[in-house]
Amino acid sequence: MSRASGKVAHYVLVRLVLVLAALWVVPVWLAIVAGTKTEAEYATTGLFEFGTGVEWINFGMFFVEPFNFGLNIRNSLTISLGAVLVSLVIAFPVSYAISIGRHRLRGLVLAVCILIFLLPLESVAFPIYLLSKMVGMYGNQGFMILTLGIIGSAFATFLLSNVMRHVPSDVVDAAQLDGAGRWVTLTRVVWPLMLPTVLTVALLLYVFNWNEYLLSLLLLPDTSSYTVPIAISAVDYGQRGGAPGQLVAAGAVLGSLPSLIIFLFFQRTLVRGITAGASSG
Amino acid sequence: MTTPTSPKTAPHRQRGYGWFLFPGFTVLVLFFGTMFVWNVGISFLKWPGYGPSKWVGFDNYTHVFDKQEFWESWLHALFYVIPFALLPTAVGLALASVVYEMFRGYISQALVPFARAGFFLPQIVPISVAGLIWLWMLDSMSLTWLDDPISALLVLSVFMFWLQMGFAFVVYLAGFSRLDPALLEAADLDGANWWQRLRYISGPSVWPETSVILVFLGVGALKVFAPVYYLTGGGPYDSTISPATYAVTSFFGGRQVGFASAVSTVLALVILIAVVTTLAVSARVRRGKQ
Repeated sequence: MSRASGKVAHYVLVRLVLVLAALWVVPVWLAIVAGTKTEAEYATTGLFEFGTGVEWINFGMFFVEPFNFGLNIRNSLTISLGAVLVSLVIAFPVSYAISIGRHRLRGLVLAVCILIFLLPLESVAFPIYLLSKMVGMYGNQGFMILTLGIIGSAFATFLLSNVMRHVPSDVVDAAQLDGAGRWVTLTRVVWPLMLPTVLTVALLLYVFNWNEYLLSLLLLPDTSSYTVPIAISAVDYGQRGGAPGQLVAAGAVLGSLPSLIIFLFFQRTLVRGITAGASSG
Repeated sequence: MTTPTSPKTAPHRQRGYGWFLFPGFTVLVLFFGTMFVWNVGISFLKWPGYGPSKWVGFDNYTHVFDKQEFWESWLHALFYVIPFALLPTAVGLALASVVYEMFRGYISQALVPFARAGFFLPQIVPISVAGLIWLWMLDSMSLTWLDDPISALLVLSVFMFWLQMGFAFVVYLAGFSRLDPALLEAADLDGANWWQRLRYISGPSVWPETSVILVFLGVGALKVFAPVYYLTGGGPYDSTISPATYAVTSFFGGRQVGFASAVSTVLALVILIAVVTTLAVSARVRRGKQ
């Protein structure tokens, strides 16, 4: 291949990738455009055309009856954050024991975590649903938090222990020579060193939890306990075919906004977490 | 792939860490173990989900295997491996390679995060919302593709590809950063074209990423629930159902709970066998290479 044609190919390929990346965003972009239009504008303008201004009422109407979207946001926040905490409380000591302590069950623990991570949730979801009814916690947020937290702890253990393995032994040895016990080593030495990774894991789990759908469908039956994704899909089911398009679009934008904001601010962190999980197996 | 570990990265095995390991690990194993065994137990019962139950042995499994929908759901699951795992992996690798090799220089480098953000976006939006957006999009263009079995399957495939490609892309892009750029430049000077460089240099170097992506997405395709549930709901006429949506709709659909548990137990067993086989084969391949 001559240099000149190589340059042309280079030019074309770079643009092709950028066009493709833009194409990937089109569905979400169309929803944003449509969600900001008035009903009249929605009917008369093209899909890619913005209206004259932003029709805030499209978004505002989700925060009053019958939607009460504010409540859904609070539910999702409580559940997502609570479950992240539960996951970390379970996963951090376990990772500490198998990575710093090189516990002899290390291989088993990691294998179990991968297995749990790959198993279909459907094969444990029905008993979880039955358990919630049995203990009288059907529809209870606390039950949802614990369940999601335990599920997330498998992934958290896997990721944390993979990174914790690289904590220099000199640091740990020095602390223990100075008389620090296992617990003090964990809180004063390993925890501060691991803080960036902990934040990455927390962020990833938060997004997983926020987007969770199956257990939310099974365990949270009342509209007042709906999480954001369930509430948004309920908007669709209730009025499919009948709902004005600009409102459906606005609802979709609202539903993805919390994840999008996190993504915009923490893109690098999220991607680093996902690739750390995928590249350390 | 791990960064090279020096002999002293972690202390030697020590006693006294059981206190940190067992509380959390016990909770994890006990919870999943109990739920899984419980589910298997239910699959041997004739039970509507409440009230008295009756032990019926493998009857539920016989019923499941008699159902045409069950076999159709597995046929679909095998088909979904293409748009959910194989295509995203192949295209993600090609795109990541182009971005890694071509996006050089000050301005192009600054564009990499935009490409990454674009492709990765579908992974961040809740799937229920993504499904809603696609439904709305098709509706607002007056496209009725989801009403016909074949075109519904195709639209769902495009949706799955759209969802998963970004995952493969970002993992490969991170994998390439391990590569020594001088190696590719040398190959370039020797006249190796893009495909040859990918085939012989950059491609083999990201083999660990490839196996992780394929296992993760392949298993994801077999157990796929949300994309199907939120785009087509399994329809029209069950033409897009997956084993997971079949299990969940059986659970809610007035059929008895034992039947649904049998469907999901089969799904779990198939995935278990698939994962163990893949790991064994890839271990053998790796040993054969050395």
